[in-house]
Amino acid sequence: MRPGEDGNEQELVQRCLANSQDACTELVEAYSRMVGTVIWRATGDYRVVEDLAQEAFLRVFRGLPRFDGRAKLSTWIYTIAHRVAIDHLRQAGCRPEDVPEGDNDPPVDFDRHAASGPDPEMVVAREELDRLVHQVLAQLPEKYRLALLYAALDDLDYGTIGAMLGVPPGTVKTLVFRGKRLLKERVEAALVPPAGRGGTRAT
Amino acid sequence: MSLRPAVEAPVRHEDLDRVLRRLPLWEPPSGFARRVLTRTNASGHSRPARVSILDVIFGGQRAVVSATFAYAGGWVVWQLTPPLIDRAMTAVDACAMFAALVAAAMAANMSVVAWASAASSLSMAAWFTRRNGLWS
Repeated sequence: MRPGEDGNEQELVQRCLANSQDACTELVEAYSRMVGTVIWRATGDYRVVEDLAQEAFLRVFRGLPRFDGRAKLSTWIYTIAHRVAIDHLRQAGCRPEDVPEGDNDPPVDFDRHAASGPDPEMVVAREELDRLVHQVLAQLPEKYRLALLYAALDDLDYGTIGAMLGVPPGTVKTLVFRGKRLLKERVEAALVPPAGRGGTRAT
Repeated sequence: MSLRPAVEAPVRHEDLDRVLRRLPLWEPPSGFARRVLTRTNASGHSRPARVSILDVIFGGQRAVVSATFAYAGGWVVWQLTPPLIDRAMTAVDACAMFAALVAAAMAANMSVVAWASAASSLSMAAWFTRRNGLWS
C-alpha cells in the first residue's frame, strides 16, 4: 500500500528527515513505479527511464526538508518526476518521436491482451491500431500528449495531473477531451478512407 | 505515415481508450532503491537535515528585513505626519510635501540609506538565487 493511502505519509516524511535509511528505501519503493512510468510516458524513451527516475528521487530527497505537506506527497513526487522528464527533453532538444523507433522498446509485452483474442483478424487489427495510435500519439502537441498519457494512468486524477502540468484540473479535462479528438482525427486520417468518401489511400 | 489495411475508419473512442489504458507501466529493476540511495549518499543528500544552517540564515534574514521595513515605515510616518497635518491643505499638497520630506530625510541620512539599500539588494539577490534553485 502506498504511504499516503493509509495516512502515514507525513510519518514517512518525518522518518526520512530523521535519516532513516529504511524510510528512504520505503519511499523509493512506494513511488518508483509511478515515477518511472511518468518519466517513460513523458520521454517515450525506455532507455533513459532508470537514470531519470534516480535523478527524480535525488531531487525528492534534496527537497524533502522543504516539503510543507500542502500537496499530497505523491502529487509532489510525480510533479518532480514530470519536471525531470521535461528537463531531459529540453536538454536533449528532442521530442519523443525523435527517439529511434525500436531502440526504445521496453522488455515487456505490449500486446499481451491482444494476443489472447480468439479472432486472428481482430488480433491483427488491434495490433495495427495499437501501433498507429502509438505513432500518432508521439506526434501530438506536448500538452495534449502528456494530458492523454497521464490521464490513462489510474493513479493520477485530474487534480494531480493539473499540479504536474501547472494547470487547473478543469483545463486538464479540456486537454484530455481535445487530445482524444485530435488523436482520433489523426488516426483516422492515416487509415484507409471509408468506402463512398472517395479519395486515395494514405501513404 | 504507412497504411494500416487491417483497421478502418472511423475509429471508436473506446478503441483509443483501450490502447491508452494498455500502455505499459514501468517496473523498477531489482536493486533500484538501493542504487537510488547510493547515488543520493554520493551526492551528499543522504541526510536531509530537518533544518539546515542555510534555512536558519535565510529565515533570520527574512525576519530582519521584514522588521527593518516595518520599523522604517513606521518611523517615516511618525516623523512626517505632524508637519503634513500642520501644513498641507489638500491631498495633493500632502503628497508633494511627503515626497519632498522623504527626499530631504534621505539626503540627511545618506549613509543609513546607502547601507539599507545595499542590505536590501543583497537580500533580494540571495532570495531570487535561492528561489530559482541556483543555491539549494
